[in-house]
Amino acid sequence: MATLQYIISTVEFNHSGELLATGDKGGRVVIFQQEQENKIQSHSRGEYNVYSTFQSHEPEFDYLKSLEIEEKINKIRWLPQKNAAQFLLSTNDKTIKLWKISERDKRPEGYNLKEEDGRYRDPTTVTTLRVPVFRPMDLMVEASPRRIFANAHTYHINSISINSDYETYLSADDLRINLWHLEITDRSFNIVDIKPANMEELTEVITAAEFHPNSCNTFVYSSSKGTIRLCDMRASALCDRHSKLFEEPEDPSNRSFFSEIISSISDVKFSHSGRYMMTRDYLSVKIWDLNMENRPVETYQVHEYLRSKLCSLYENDCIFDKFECCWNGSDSVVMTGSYNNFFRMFDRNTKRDITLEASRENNKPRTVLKPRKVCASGKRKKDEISVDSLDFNKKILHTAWHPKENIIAVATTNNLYIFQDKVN
Amino acid sequence: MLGKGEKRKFDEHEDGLEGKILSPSDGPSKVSYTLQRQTIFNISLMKLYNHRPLTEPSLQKTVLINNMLRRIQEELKQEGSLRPVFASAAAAAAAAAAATASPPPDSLSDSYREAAPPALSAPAPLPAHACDLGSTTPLDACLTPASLLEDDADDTFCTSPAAPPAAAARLSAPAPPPEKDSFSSALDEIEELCPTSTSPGAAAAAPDSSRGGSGAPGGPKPEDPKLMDSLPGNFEITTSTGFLTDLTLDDILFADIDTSMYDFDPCTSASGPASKMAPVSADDLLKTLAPYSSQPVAPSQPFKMDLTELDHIMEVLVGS
Repeated sequence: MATLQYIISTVEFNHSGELLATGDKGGRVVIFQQEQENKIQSHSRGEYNVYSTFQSHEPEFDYLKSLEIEEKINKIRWLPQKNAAQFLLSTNDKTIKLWKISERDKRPEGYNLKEEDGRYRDPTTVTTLRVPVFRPMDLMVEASPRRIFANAHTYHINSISINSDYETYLSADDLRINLWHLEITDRSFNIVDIKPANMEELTEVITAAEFHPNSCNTFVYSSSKGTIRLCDMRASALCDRHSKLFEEPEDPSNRSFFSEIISSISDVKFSHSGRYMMTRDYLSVKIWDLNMENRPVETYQVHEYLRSKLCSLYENDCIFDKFECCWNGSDSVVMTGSYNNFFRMFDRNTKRDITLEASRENNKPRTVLKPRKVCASGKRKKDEISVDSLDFNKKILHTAWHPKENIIAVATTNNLYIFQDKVN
Repeated sequence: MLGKGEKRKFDEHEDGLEGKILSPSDGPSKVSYTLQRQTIFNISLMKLYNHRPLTEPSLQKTVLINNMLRRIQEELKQEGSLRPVFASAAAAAAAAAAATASPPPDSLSDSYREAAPPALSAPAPLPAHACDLGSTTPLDACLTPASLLEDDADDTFCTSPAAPPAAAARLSAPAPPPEKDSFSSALDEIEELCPTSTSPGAAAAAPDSSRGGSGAPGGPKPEDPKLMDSLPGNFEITTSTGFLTDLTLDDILFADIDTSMYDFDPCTSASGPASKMAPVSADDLLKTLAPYSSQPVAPSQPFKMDLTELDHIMEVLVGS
C-alpha cells in the first residue's frame, strides 16, 4: 500500500500487469513496478514499489476565457511494449502527452577527455587512448515526453483510448471525439461531433469513449442520457450516425426527478474478449452484449440504498461523481467503487457479490479483507453500517484489475491500495 | 441537521412517511411531490448561479442541471395550462404562516419563503385569479389541480421521501404544513375575504426566476417562451450562467436569505457561498416534516389569522 500526497485521479495497469500507473490532481504520474516473484516465498506475488515519478502536466491559464486549465490527469493509457522502453499516454482536460519511460542501468566510463565526475582533462596530460566501456550503475528510470498533442479540444477531455492497430488513438471531450496518429501531433481527425448549432439546444454530452479491443474500426461512446453508441469508422469519415444504439428503456416504477442524472454513464469498458461492454451509471453496473441493443444482459446494483437519498446527493453534488469500473482478466468478475471507501465486486458466473473496504484501520497487510454490508433501513444488524453513517467524502472512483492475475488496485482519495488474492 | 434543538425522529417516522408516500391516492404524496419539485428547482438554480469556479465548470454537470430545470418548468407549464388555480391567497396564507413562525426580516425573504406553501396541493379546484407575477403558470401549477391528484399512475415520484424546499424548514418549529382539509378550507376563507386581489409580489421561486429573466413582472404567457429562450445561456463562455441572464437581480434575490439558523451539513459541497445557500439536507427536512404530516392537530391555526395581518402582508408583497 502506498501513500500519495495528492488526490489520485486515475489508475491503470499496463498490458503485462508488471507496471501500475497512477495520475493525480497535481499533474504527477507515479508508476509502480511489481517485484520479480520470489521463488522461495511462493505464497505471495511480488509487491509493487515505486518505479518512476514525473510531472506530466502543469497548470495552464487560458487567457481568452480567463480560466485555469487544471493539471489534473484525467486518464492514463499504456501502449503495448514494443522494445525495452515503456510508453504511456496521459491527458489532462486539454492536452495529451506521450511519455517514454526507459531504464538506464549502465553508463559509459573511461572517457579520454573527461574525468569520471565530468571535469575536462587537460589534453596535454593524455598519454594513452582507451575505448570507453559500459559499466553497471544504479538503476535510473527516466521519463521523457515524446509527443504533445495539444489544441484539439475545446471542451474537457474525458477519455483516451488506444486502437488495436497500436498506431492511432482517440480522445473524447464533452462534445467531440478526435482520432490521432501517435506519430503526428499537429493534426487530428474529428470523428464524432455532437455540438448543436445553437448551444442552447444542448441537452446531452459525451461522457466516455473506447476503442474495441479487437476491431480497429469500431469504437463506442456513452452519453449523459444513458445511451451508448457504437460506431464503425469504415462507414463514414464523420461517425455522427451510429451503427448501434444501446439504451435500456426507463423503468417507470423507478422514475424520479433524478432519473436522467443517475442514468448518465460515467464509464464504459469493453470486455477483454470484445464480446461485451460494461457501463457504470450512478447506481448500477450494466453488462451489454454487443449484439443486443435494447437492454443489458446483466445489471448489478452497486448501492441501491442511495436511491432514497438522491435529493441530498444532488444537493451536495455527489450525484455527479464519476465512478469507473473494470473487468478482471478472464471477464468473469467486474469491480467498481462506492462511498465510505467501499468497493464492490460482482461475479458474473456465480452471481455473488461482495463489498469490501479500503481503509488502513481495518486492514493490516496480509490479512484477509472482511466483507462489509450496508443496512438500508430498519434495524441495523451488528457489523452493518447504516446508510446515514456512510462517509460520502470517502469515495472510490478509480479501480483497476491486473490483466492476468487476481491483483487489484483501488484508489481512495489520496491512498492507493493494492490487494491480491490469497494464494494457498 | 435542521435547527438546534430539533429532535430528529428517524426510524419510525421515516417508515411512516414511506408508507404514506407509496399510497398513490393520498393527498400528502402530491404535497411531497410538489415540495420536492420546488426544492430541486431551487437547488438547481443555486447550483448554476452560486458556483464561481477558477476553472471552467463541468459542461456535463451544467447540462444535467439545465435539463432538470427545463423539465420542471415544462411540468409546471403543463400543469398550469390544465387548470389555473388561485395562488396568491395561498401565498398570502403561507406568508402569514411564515410570519407567525419566524418573522422574516425583509420582503425578499418572504418571496423566497413562499416557495414552500404555494406548492402545497389544493385538493379542490379553486377559481383562477390574475396573479401577475413574472409568470402565473408556474406558480398556479404549484397548487396541484385536483385532476392531477387522481392521475397518479406515473406521478409516484415519491418513492423516496420527498424533500420540502429549504424555505419550508423555516416554518418547521411552530408552523407545520397543514393537512389538506384545513388548508383548502382556509383557502376558501381567504378567497371569500379577498375575491379580486391581484398580488404581483407573491412570488415562488419559479416566478422569481422568470421575473429575474424578464426584469419586471409581466404577463404570464409571454414570459414562458422568453424564459425558455434564456435557457441555458451561453455554454461557450461561462457555463455557470446557464439559466438566467440577469445576474444582478439574482444576487439581490439570493443575497438576503437568512441562513443563520442552519448548520453545515458535512456532506454539502464546500464551495463558498453555495454551502451557505444550501444549508439543510433535503432528505432531513422531510424527515422532520414527517411527524407533522401525521398529526392533524394544529395545522389550521396558522390560517386562522388576523385580517389586518393578511392585509399587511399583501401590501408588502405587492410592494416588492
